Amino acid sequence: MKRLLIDLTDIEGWQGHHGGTQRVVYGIAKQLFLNNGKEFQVEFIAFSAEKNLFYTTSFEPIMTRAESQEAGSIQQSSPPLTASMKSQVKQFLRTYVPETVRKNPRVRSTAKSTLTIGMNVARKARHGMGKLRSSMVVSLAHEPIVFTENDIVLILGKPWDNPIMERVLVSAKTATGFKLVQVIYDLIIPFYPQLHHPSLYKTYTQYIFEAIDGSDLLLPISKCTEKDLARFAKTLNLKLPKTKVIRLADEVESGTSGNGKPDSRIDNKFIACIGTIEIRKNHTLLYYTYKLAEQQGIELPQLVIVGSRGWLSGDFQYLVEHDPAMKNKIILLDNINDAGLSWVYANCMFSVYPSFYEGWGLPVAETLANGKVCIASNASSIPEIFGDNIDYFSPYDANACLDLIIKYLDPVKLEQKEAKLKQLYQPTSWTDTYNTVARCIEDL
Amino acid sequence: MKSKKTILVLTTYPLKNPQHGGQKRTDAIVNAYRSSNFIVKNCAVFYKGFYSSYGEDDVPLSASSEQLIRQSPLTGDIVCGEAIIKDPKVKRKITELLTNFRPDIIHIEQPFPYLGLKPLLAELQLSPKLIFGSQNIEAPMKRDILEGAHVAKEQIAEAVKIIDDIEAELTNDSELVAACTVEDLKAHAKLKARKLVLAPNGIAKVETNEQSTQHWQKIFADLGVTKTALFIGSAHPPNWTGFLDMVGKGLGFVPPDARLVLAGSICDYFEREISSDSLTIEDATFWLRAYSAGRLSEPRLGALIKQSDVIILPITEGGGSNLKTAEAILANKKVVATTHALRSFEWFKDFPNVWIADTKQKFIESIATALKTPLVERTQEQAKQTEKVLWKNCLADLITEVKSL
Repeated sequence: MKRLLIDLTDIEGWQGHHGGTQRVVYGIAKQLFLNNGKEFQVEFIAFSAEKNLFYTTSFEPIMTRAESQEAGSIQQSSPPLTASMKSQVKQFLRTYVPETVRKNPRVRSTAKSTLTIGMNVARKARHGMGKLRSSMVVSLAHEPIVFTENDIVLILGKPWDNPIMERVLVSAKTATGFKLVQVIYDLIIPFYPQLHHPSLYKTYTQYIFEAIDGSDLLLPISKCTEKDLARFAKTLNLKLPKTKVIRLADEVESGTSGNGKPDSRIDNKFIACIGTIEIRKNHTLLYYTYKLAEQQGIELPQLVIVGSRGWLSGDFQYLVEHDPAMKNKIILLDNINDAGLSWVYANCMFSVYPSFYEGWGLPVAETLANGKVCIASNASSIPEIFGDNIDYFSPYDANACLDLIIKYLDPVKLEQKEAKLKQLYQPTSWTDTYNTVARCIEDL
Repeated sequence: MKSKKTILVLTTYPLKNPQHGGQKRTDAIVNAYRSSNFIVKNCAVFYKGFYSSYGEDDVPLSASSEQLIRQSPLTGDIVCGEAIIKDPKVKRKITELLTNFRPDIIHIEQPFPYLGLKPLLAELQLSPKLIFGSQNIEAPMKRDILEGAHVAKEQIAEAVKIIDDIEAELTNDSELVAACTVEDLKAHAKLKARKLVLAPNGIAKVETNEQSTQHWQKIFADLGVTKTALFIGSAHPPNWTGFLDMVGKGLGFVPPDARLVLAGSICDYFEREISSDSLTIEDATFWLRAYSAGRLSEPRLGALIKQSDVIILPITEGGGSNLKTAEAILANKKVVATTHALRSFEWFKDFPNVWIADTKQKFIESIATALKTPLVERTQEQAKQTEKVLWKNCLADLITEVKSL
């Protein structure tokens, strides 16, 4: 039986709820853990950034932690700021910001918005430090892994977070000859630098280069990503290894959908848009769509945008938060936990997804898995999710987006569409995803 | 009556610390004349902005001529040639040299110095025998370079006409034309050269030392590199365009434990033009598989050549024969080259360890194959044939002809 080594660097020591990539790592690793010994002898590893080596680790504590969080009641996705931190910030402002400035509503508003982002960053940084401390403790306690020729190493997460990791991996592979398998999420940064902050360009592009050059099998999460991989390889004269598209799970966690509205501002009838607020997700199109409706005298339901505040989206946030006509018409919710997110999926009229480019488009799949209609951008991988059964618009066309929103304001049309998708859409479970991954690895 | 003939060698670049091909060739010719019992002086009319070290007979341009070069650096050789008659300081120095040294023969390396020398000789009523040391057919090459730099069409036409005319005049006025390749010989024959001799480019034996060898061993060991393909080039624009045309910036064909090593002043181009911080996938990944060794001393370069597995010659334009090709032949390494790179060394293409490739795809595939293919030993006959590339053998016919002038 082959030894299969699963990298858990992304989730080992993580204390909060899992984000997108972490959910994939956890979801597949859990299935491999539960099926250990059937097809593979599964062992778990993680990378120590301090020692530049991989070490053995265990999955049980991660699963125990994740399940206790699932079972628990509403919990913030990141730890909240403590009362003492808040009072320290207020004290600082009273001391250092002149009263004339503090009492100017415009300045107060801008400062508040900036501070909110700053506090989010601080909170995440504090959380990250916790993770780092935890990982240091773990890495000191575990044995370095000794790779052998017969091993298969499976990387499910984000090795680009630590550029040394990919190098150590490729060099260990060159030395021992083990087989390397990696999940590839997208090539948006290399091919669409305008949609991302430039700081990651070099690291991410170099990671994709080494992943193609060093892997025996790549598992892109969509045909679109698979095509982008081929384009990248061809442009740079790389030999593309075998690729096999895997479909990520979109199954709904049971028992979490009815646990209460996550924000009192949410109307009874609302349209949802889920995904990090960043330039790539093209939320600005939704603002234009709503302004277009306003101009044409069309009353639209409230738009609830759920997602943490990412980069290069300041202009959009400013527009929404300072346009009196959009007050409570478009609301932005960050720091929503899994239960809150489930509530939004379960209670929205339908969702809208205007993204410029995706590796897959999980919020679209999750909307469908929740039995709700999604109208979406026709870009990149999104049409792979449910083919012709989704109504698409161009991510550059606010008129087309508005037309589709208006179409599904008609309760009859919405109901018919919902009934059809409930009949046709087959949600993907983590077991399904695991089975695809396991078959691919078996064939190596 | 003088017992030994005197030869003045005129260039538009000094020969001190020769770096680029033109300097190395002319330096070898001067040394060959000297060792054949001629009394030789070499003089360069040159721009100090391009060359910082020079000899006692070399004449830097005055400020007014320098200004012309700064305005149009790619036609600097024309400015240097014309300065012999137009730049008063240069004219005075060259006049002193001609009247004091009284050369029996003036060897003009490349046609440019003749632009000013011809009217000056007429003015001084001197008529030494002339040898035209041709390195290329210059006019079409200059056209390519200027077009590549997007110079205005009128300026290109003017420069090309000046060079075309002076190449023809010097070919006609010379007792002997020495050309690098058979093709160049034919071109000069069409221009009605009186006497022609083939003097292909050659190479001196690689000199190196243990310290330099250890230097590279350590660098590549630290990088985890076990194989290297070497590209040596000067900052001559065709070297850069040749690399882009035949190799390009997508280096995914280079294995993780290998590097494409760049050496010579061509590295300035690479370092300036390819930044891993720029937002293109080629630039962001280029330096993962390339290594810039920079400008190197002879022992360092020698050690780098000795250590390399493959030498690449992505040469796509230019006349003349190539010093880098001769270097590669003498180095006894695996070689990946264009057909163009083997001009005058056509016999080498049947040697073992040689891959000829004239398309980008074939060229990069050949590099990848060469990196993983073991080196085949040359036969004794082939090893002997290799010595043809040494300067003393390349210039033997030229010396014989000059002695008979």
